[in-house]
Amino acid sequence: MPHALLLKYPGTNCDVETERALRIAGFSTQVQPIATASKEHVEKAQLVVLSGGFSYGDYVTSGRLAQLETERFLGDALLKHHADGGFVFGICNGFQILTKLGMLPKASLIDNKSERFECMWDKLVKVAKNSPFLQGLPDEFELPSAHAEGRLVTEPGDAEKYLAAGNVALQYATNHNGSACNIAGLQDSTGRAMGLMPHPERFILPRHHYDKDWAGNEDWGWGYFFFKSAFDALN
Amino acid sequence: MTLHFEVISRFQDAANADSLLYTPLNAGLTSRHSRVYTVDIDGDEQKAREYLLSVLVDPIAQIFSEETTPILDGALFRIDYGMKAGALDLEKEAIMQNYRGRKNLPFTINNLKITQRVYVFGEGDKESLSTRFAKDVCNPAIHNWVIA
Repeated sequence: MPHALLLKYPGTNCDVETERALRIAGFSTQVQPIATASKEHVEKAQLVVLSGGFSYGDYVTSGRLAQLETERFLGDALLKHHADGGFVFGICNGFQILTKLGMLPKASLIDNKSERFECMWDKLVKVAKNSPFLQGLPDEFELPSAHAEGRLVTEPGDAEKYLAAGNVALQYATNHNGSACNIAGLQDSTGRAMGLMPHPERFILPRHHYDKDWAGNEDWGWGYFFFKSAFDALN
Repeated sequence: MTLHFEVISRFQDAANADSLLYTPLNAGLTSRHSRVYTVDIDGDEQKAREYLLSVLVDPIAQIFSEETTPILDGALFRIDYGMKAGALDLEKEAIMQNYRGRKNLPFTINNLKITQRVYVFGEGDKESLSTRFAKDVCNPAIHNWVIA
């Protein structure tokens, strides 16, 4: 059974539902606070997940202190895990941390264009059709989003390059936060590292949808397929 | 020695300054924010600078200045505010926690002071407007502030 390690930082607040989603998909799981995480924890895992929240209060910039603490406690263990074929998945604040760790194409997530926290459902377009995290999902689907710092920015021209190079996993159908090229999710060149701003763990069952008559899938919400897809790829 | 960094977003434009107030003024004022870090260090200045920049500045999303003069000019006024001595500054604590956890750094940080800087742009009576903004932006229970 594939094993997932969920790293938890002070301020992480989506670990419970993310772990539940991983378990439902079939993973054995371990939630580990970063201060007690070790290379051995990473070595045991096939998937490392960084979930949503406000690590270290989003101080300095979102994800920065979590990046520094990850490097302090784990050194290059995450990079080695990925280089050895492991999967890495970052959701919301986890996505922000992965960009800072350099595990995804160079980008940063800053305050939304509105400069406000925004909580809504986003219609998403699946761009990376071969992503091991996106199998089983239709070309367009919806997920809940909740963030203040979800506007993806890059060096000039990089976002367009990522789109052309297949690094863009997901795009917003409606770009509410001002992200470059409507980017909602990025992946690295292998597809084994992926981050996105919306929250798949909040839409595991059809009853999690805002529309009680939603009939997109009989058994599962769209978020389930992210975890199931990773499980199937690793199993 | 003292190192000084003012950090500001590369991407965000001046926004409606009324968002800083409990009651909008509708006076056409705009604002921008930056953070000023003043760091007293001993030891290897270059290594300290490298470390601090790696912590404090996002090279994609932010620009910074090491001058003591404000990074933006043309403001009607600016408000510099920070935590009072004794008030818990969580950003400072988070940064210092990372610093204290690093082994064998060739410098020591003796003090870190974080100042939030608000630039307000537009026209009007600087005296009354700055007092109004300081009243709504700053909390006298925990903040010290200076208007310039």
